[in-house]
Amino acid sequence: MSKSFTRFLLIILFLTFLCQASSGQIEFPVEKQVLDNGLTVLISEDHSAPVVSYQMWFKVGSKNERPGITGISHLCEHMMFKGSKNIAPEEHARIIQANGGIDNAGTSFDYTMYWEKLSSDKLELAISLEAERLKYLTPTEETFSSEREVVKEERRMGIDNSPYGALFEQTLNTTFVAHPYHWHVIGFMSDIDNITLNDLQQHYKTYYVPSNATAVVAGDVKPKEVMKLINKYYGDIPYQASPPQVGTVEPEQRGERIAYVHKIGQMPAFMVGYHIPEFGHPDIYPLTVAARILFTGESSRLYQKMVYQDQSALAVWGDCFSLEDPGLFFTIAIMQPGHTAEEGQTTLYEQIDKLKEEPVDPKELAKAKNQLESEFVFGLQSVSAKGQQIGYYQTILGDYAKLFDEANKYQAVTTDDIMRVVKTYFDSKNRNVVVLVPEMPEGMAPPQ
Amino acid sequence: MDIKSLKTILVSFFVLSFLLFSISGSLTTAKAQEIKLPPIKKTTLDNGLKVIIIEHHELPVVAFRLVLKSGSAYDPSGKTGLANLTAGLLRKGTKTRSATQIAEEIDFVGGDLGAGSGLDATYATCQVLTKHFNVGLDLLSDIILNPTFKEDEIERLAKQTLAGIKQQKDDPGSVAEEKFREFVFGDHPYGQPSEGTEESIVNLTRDDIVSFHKKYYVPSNAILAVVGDVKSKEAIKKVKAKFSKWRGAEVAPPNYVEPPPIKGHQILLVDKPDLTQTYIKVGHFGIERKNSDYFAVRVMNYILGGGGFSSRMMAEIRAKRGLTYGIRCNFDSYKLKGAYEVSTFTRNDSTAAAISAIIDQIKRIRAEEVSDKELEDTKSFYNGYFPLQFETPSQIATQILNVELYDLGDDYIKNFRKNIKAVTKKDVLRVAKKYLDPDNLKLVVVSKAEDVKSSLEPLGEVEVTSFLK
Repeated sequence: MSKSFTRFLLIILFLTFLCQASSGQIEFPVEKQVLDNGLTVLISEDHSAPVVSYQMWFKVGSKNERPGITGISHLCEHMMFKGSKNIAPEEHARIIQANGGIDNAGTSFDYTMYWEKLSSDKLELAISLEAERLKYLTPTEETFSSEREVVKEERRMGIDNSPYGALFEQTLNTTFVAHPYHWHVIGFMSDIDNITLNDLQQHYKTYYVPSNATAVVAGDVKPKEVMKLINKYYGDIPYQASPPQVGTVEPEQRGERIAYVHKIGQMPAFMVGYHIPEFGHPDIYPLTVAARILFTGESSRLYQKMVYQDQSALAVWGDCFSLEDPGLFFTIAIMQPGHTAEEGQTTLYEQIDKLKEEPVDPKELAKAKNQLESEFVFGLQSVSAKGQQIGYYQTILGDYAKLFDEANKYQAVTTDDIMRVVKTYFDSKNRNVVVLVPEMPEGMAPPQ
Repeated sequence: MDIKSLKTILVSFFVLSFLLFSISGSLTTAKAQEIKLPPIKKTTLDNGLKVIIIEHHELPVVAFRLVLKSGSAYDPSGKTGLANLTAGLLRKGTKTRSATQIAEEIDFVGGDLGAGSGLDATYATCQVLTKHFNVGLDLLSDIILNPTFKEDEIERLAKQTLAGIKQQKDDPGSVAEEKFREFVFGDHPYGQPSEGTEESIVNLTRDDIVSFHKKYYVPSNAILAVVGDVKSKEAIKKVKAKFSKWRGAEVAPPNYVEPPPIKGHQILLVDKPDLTQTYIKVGHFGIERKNSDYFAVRVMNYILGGGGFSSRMMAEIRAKRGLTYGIRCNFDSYKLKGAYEVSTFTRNDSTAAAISAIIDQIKRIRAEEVSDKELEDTKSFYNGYFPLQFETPSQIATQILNVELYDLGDDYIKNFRKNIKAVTKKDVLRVAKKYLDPDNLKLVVVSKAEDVKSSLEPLGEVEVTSFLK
């Protein structure tokens, strides 16, 4: 049984995220077609189970927003379940379930993705329902106002009342000053309150167009039959130009920034974010390898130092979060009672400096590469996971096939590469630190 | 908290989902697809260890999953957390390897190796690429058979565990979960958190750990599943080579304290003064896993609150009224009776409204039969969804081991959909009346107490406590 809601949710979401870390020699068949209206279709045939995963990827996320309407991409994703011309509010999910399937959707900084997973003889149902809401969404003041309240509850749960949610939001706020990655996908509370139905309709019209979308079909299907269905349901949508891209470039950071978040609680923690290049940039590979050396597994340098030897931290972890535009390398540590966030930062920076000064041992490098190889293969263990990988690469890099080059790129990383990127990016002037300061409620003493 | 759970927390900040809860269910369809299970070989070694090998060649991956049929419910009184700490220490040193050596070896092949305890069972798991099969099996068998439980490792892990318990108190969702179990089950082992409490962890000694290991880590109490890209014959040979010398006495189940009865609406208000949102758990005792009404209860629960958007609670409390982002209810069914619980959260000023709406839905499903459409949609869901749960090696292993752990019988998987299909509207009404009791409920409310206390008082007797306790 799930330990808690939150953890339950997190595990589900984690699957979506595996898209980003990869390596390995596995290749699987993918067929790509593009309709006249610009819809990209990726089909991966896999007959190992009578299951199909259908996914609709739209290249729109919180990056495409502006102050005043932050959170609109996510709100729009919610409204996609609130009814269209032929489907009543919430019926989409009910129909999928009544046909033995499951469905959901997720919004990120760069994309929004909708999925159904069901028995492969039900593929047409999923396609028809997704096409319906792409063509005929009918948000009303009534459905919009109740869903707005739902999303506010989601924000209260994930950010306002969660110590690590609050810490993460502040890390984005501090790290990005010009680029829209400045705000969290959920948006600011007052913006969620102020977005109008008209704003929402404009957003939907602009971004929910075939030329901005990729349909992914993975599982027990025949590509020819899939294309017949895709043409039947999407073929009549006219071409519409792709939406404009985001032009904002985050200016170079010229000095360390530190912020604090005070919350009632007992455990100090901190997050550190360094600006790094965009997903697919050659430096991302050595940075990802460096992250394995520093943070992955109980033999990693930071686990050994902070958790095992010094016993100063409960947990420490970090990785590249490379996004479509330049993203961040981030680290989080939760300190043990009696140890401060400042002490944790000192240790972290010492370990990072060591990487700048001493070449990594060949065995340690081999270990990191083996870890990346396993991560990649472990991340392909379902048709949904495969579909997510190709959908992500197609949406963010414009070419699903780049997924299959990843393994070689990781294997090619050298000790010199690691030293160079660590020196380039893990510079204190490029650093953003957010400290979670636990406070006791008034009149309460911390328990011994 | 281990690295993995931290990682999942962080990663989740990057993608927000529409639906918080996945559906608690297991099945699928109109035109029922066959459940294509890969070849399964079951065998029992001379020492009593049950071994299940499942060939699954889609990817070059192998997963080992060893289950011991003794979880935290076997923790002696006052020693809560013993099973879990013992499991955690397995990786922290064996007769031939130090903790760091174990970490180096598993990390070098990019594998996962872990152990922990739930209420009914202890699990040790390992996942590696097929080419590292031998490393995986060697490490797994070594940590099960030869752990040394060194004092310094015990001290270190106990300290980590204590910090983890404190850390969970910073998270209102976790607080609600722990408090609810404790509130409903009292001193019964299902009332105690598997990871232990701040009071109990400091009481655990090396002798406790060594004796727990000796008593319960025995072959007749264990099942080992090996699932993935392996050949059964070769796999069984290698398993035998590692485990056939394992010895130990039969396990006797412990005696349990009865949980306290529930009278009226008893409310535990947990104060955390910075909260702007209230976490709510409502429920009482549920059913045991082998209950003969299991399938009818499952159908009833799906319609009431287990079925995501197909459920009444979601339709009324989220979709129609916008009071929450998520609501679900569940019958936790274990060896013994688990809890029936409804879980949700809402802004502080709608706390009483959400609770009343929950109680109304429980009353309604006990008052009248569900509709034909609700019943048919539910059966159709399970009919289609059940086979979806047998896709990956780890899903298959989990399903098969659950059948073994709860002794559900060899035909369980084959007959699941038939059993769901046999449930009638009358059955649903009967089990709703039998297993739901809206007049006698325990409620845990984690909130800013001064915001919600007066609105709760009309609902029942309110006891206030702090999130720190």
